[in-house]
Amino acid sequence: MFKFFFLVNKQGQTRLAQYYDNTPAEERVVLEAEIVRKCLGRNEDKCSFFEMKGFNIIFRRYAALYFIAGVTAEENELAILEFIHNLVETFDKYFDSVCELDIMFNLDKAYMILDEMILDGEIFETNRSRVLAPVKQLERDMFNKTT
Amino acid sequence: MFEKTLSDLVRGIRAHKDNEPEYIGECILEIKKELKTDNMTNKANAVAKLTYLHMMGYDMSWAAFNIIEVMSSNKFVFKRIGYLAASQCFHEGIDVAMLATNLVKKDALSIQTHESSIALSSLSCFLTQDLAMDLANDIMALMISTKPIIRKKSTLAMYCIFMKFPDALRPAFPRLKEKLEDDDPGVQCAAVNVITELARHNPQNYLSMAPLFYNLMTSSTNNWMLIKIIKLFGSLCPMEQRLGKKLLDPLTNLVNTTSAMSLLFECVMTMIKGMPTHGPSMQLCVTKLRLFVEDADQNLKYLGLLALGEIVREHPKLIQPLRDMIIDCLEDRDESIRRRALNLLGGMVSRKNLAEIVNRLRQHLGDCEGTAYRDDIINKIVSICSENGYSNVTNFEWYLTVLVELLRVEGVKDTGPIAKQILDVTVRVPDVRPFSVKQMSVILENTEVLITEMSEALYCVAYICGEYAVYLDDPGKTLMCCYKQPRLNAAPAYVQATLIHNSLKLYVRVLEVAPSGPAGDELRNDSKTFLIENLESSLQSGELEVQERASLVLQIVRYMAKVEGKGGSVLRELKALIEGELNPVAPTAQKKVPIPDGLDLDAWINPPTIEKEPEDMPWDKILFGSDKAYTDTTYTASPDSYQATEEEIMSKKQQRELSLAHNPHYLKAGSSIIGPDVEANSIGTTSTIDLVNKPINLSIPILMDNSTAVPVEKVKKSTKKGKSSRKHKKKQGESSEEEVQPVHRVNVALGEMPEGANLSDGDTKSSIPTNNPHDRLNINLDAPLRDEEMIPVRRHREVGSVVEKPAEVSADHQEERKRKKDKKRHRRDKEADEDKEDKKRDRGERKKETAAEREERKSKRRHHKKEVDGPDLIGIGDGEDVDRNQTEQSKVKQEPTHVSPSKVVDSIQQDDLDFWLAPDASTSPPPDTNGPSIGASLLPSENGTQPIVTLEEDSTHKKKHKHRRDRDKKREKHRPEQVIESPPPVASTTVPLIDPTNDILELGFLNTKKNLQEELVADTNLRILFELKQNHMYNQQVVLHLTFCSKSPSTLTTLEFNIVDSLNVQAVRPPGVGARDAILLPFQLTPGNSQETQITFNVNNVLVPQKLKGTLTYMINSALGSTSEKLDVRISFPVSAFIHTTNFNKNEFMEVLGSGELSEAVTSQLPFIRSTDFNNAVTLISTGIHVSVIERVGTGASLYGVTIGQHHVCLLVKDSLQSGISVSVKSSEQILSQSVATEIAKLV
Repeated sequence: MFKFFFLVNKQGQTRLAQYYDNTPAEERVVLEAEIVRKCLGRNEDKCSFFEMKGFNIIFRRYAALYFIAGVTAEENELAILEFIHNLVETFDKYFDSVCELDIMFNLDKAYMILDEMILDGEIFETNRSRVLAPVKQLERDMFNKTT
Repeated sequence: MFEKTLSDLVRGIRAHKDNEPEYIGECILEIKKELKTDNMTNKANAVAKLTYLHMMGYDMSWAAFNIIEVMSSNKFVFKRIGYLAASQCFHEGIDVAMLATNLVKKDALSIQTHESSIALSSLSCFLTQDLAMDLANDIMALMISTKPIIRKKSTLAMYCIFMKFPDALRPAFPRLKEKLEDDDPGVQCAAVNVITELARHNPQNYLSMAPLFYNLMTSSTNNWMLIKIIKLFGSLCPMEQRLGKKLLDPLTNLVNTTSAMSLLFECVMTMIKGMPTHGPSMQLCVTKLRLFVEDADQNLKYLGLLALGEIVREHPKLIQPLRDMIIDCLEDRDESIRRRALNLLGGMVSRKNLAEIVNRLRQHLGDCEGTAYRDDIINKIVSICSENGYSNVTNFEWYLTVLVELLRVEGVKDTGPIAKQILDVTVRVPDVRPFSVKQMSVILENTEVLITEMSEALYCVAYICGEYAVYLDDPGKTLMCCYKQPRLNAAPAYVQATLIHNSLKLYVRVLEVAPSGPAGDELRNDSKTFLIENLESSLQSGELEVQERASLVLQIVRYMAKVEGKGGSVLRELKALIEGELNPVAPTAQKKVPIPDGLDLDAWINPPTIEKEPEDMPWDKILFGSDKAYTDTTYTASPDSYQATEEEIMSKKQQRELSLAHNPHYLKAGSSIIGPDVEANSIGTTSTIDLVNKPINLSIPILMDNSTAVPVEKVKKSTKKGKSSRKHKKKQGESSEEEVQPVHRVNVALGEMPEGANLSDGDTKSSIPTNNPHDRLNINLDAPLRDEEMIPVRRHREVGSVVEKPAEVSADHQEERKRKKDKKRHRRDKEADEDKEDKKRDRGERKKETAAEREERKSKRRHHKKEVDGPDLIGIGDGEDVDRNQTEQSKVKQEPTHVSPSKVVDSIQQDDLDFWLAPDASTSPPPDTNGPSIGASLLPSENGTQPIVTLEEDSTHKKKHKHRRDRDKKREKHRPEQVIESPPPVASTTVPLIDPTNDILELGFLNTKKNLQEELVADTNLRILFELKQNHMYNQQVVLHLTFCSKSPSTLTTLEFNIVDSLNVQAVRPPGVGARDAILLPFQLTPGNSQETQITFNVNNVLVPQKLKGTLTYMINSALGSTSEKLDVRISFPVSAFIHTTNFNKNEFMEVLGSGELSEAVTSQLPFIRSTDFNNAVTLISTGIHVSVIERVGTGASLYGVTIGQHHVCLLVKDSLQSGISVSVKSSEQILSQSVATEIAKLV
């Protein structure tokens, strides 16, 4: 089960963060800082998992962005890695070769995609077209309304 | 008024890198203004910006109300922004979340998919207990929505509801279970997710669902879901041993075939959890994990080592071949991998390889970086050597050398563990002392300057040199070394004190060995003056302890000088001062101190006061009255007027234990710290112990004194194990090493706890409400739903009633619900107890009791409950509540009819679970067999030739028998024909109740009924039932299961089965039994009992039915004497005994048909069957011949099976309306087709 999921860039700035367990806002800041510091400290040679405060952190780096998932201890690490890759591919498909700025300027869309994939802390949908269907539908609706 | 969009904000922040906080401050002011406007666009925009700022770490909780405003907008574009913000910043503490209840409810139930969907998505982020109660029913309703996505989301959302509102679990569970069989795979997956999560914490409640998941597992191809299901089995397996066996086959299959590493890893982990004692599958896991570790991918390497660490506990031998590979991992670039490898190595150590592993670790220590990691390695070396009372160390001189070298490794932060080891070894192994003392004196001489890291080591070194000074070559030199400056002054006080104290021991030794005559006199004088000089300077020390020791030693030395000046000698007295062997103290010794007669530890020393003591007042201070200020107030109250309640006494006791536990000076009786620590404590802090204990002055003789061996003897007497016994170990004659087995008894049992702790521990679970929702979710799900168990429904007030503020309403509700819930919980507890009792009784009476009776009893109980609960429900509230109750009542009427069928199945299923798990059930795979036949190859054979039972053959054998007996009982229940006197059994009464849609359960159940043993032969004394099964592990083998039922009033012994082998069928005899010898059955038959056995046969020709002849001889042992009896037996093997089902799908089936191999067809007509019975006929054939139905179209069905000789057998059953049912059999052999056709004709 996911405890949280976030994206940070190389400078350690959070670009997307979703928590699934009511972590208070103050703790989030501390937690993020600590995790990001650890992630940044791990280079390519090192494995992408580590334990922290009773849950497992699983991260993957894509260019300048770190995708970081905090999951409960019993979760299958490899499956989460695959999930992260899946998420990135989904972003890629939607934004057409995604970059940090895409996510910054379309934060709501990015959240929406993430929410379609993780629901209440569980992996919910892994099929890219099914994930993107509601997002695209929304776009069409908005387009129709404006025209 | 419209200031900035979100994009502007993002750009702005990027542009103001230098003064970001100020810029954001401005923006927040702007946002506040925007929020005040009436324009929804502005508000939504402001909220969107706030969400971004929140992500950056700025507080936005002040805008909670505005967020709700935006959420309630009827434009989806805005609503979405609102929900996003809510999911980011709402939490339980936010009051306004309550305002959102109606809104969320409305949105969730909206007919617009996206509205409903977004409400469900963000639920987990702001669900509170009240919200969960209110929404439970609605979300449950959504689970049967027509839209798959809504079904899927609501199913997942139920998990959050359960977490916040555990009472919803039981009412909602039947529906959740239905979702496992939803048409949409996504919904299925969601249900699996939820149940896996629930089962992880309370696996015992979900055991009965194992068959359902087993089917899902064997039929699903979705890896995500498979991982979840396998994970679920991972948590179920430890609960039920037999489940592991059942899973063996499919998991092995997956491990061997899957290409997905994540799935492979999950399978391996579940195998490790589920069948840790099963050698072959562990070997398979190790083989696979080896690939992981050898992979270039660091992630796989890490996980491989992690999983191997689980295996090493059970099977250290399996890992041995990987040792070099693991040691190589110590050189890895990633520290976490290195640590995993290190842990793994620790588990692999044995007496043989200890030296090698330690040497490799030492080498590694030289190359590695990072002090923390170095310390880890050193700790590892120490822990693997000291494990189990040094059981792996054979040569202690070697070990000491290693330790001394470790002391010298540069950059070690903490030498404490090493030093303590040296001390411990020296104390516990007397034979190594001379060697140790020499090494220590060298260290004492050679360390010039004190490095802070060495202080702990110096402490031990000084102690060893002083205590065992007899082994020193030159005590005088060592004595000088004690006062080496500047080392001495730089050392911490306790080290200085130890040095000074031990210098006295050394001095005594010097005097002892000094030769008489002038040379000796000179030596004596030298050391005396040296000591006095140095001690005087130590007197100046700022440390109290150092001062004290120095002055003590100084006075003694001066006194000696004085006496000697007069020509006398006090050497003998002085020696007596330090005489005596110090022994290791048992960790439990303190507890064993006998309480002297007349001492009542529970009696008050100072009568307690009425006044409530301040919470933080340490209990021992109160007790000992050492705190003046406090004792003053104590005596103000009259002592007589106070009666301590039990609770208070308990709480005080706990308090006292707590303070003791935190008191470093108190020797903890139950402490898990063993050996070295206790040793160090008792030596180093003897004085402090006394300081603490003295004021009590209860005149207890302190038996804990190190110099007496009494406690150890006590331990010997009182603990049966007598751990402190000495153990002799000879080592190749060169040095015999005697090891005092350390008293390593760490008592974890409650009985060894100090009194008081015991009592309170037992209560914690039941009396203290826990906050962990999983504890509250520990609910029995198999018991049928009771009428009052349902999710509360929120109702609107009557139209026209006074409008109240929503907050008040919910407060009302809350309180009332709390009351209700408390009652419910109470009731549930009671119910659970009753259930337990019932179960116990059930087990005992299972044989006699029919299902009908049980059902009746259950319903009675239900009625009884209703009566009890009735008044409660009515008595709760006023008008409004009555209204509520009515709706509940009406709901009650619906609910049972809705859930009861599946519930009945449930209870049957629970009974069936044992049966399902029993390996014998395996030959009856569910006829839907798309998956592999359940339990294929799980038949453990008796002859021991098979790999399944290679480990611990003997013990499992016994177990097997026990299992079989259990199974017997169960089978009796399911097999009416077998037990003659039992009334019509469960099967006949319950079958009609089974929901026909619930195919898995139903079919599994039918099978158990159909799969009966037939009578083989009978006489007046004995009845033999038989059943033929295939051995899936080995081709060409059939297993004959025999049940012997005694009808005789006497005991039957020496049952011998003499089987005459034919050319085609031969019995597999136990090793050592010739082909013509009789097989002696390993049991006796007592009157009225039955026994079971099995005989395996090799079959060479599977194309035709086979027959065997044999005789059974046995002795009747009665009071009159014993007589021998003989019984002729004919065993016939129909062709169907050689055929089994496979998990073919339609395509594979078509392939076989199309391959042209199946040239020989035989068609036979079954004119006696009416067309209406077509379905029955198909079922009959499929179960009778052991073939699975591949496809059924209208009036035709194709079935498929394969013989144990790998011949395909295809059947086409057709219903031609005129001529009845025809069956054509196709196979590669004419004779096989013919045999099958003949058997079908007989069958029908």
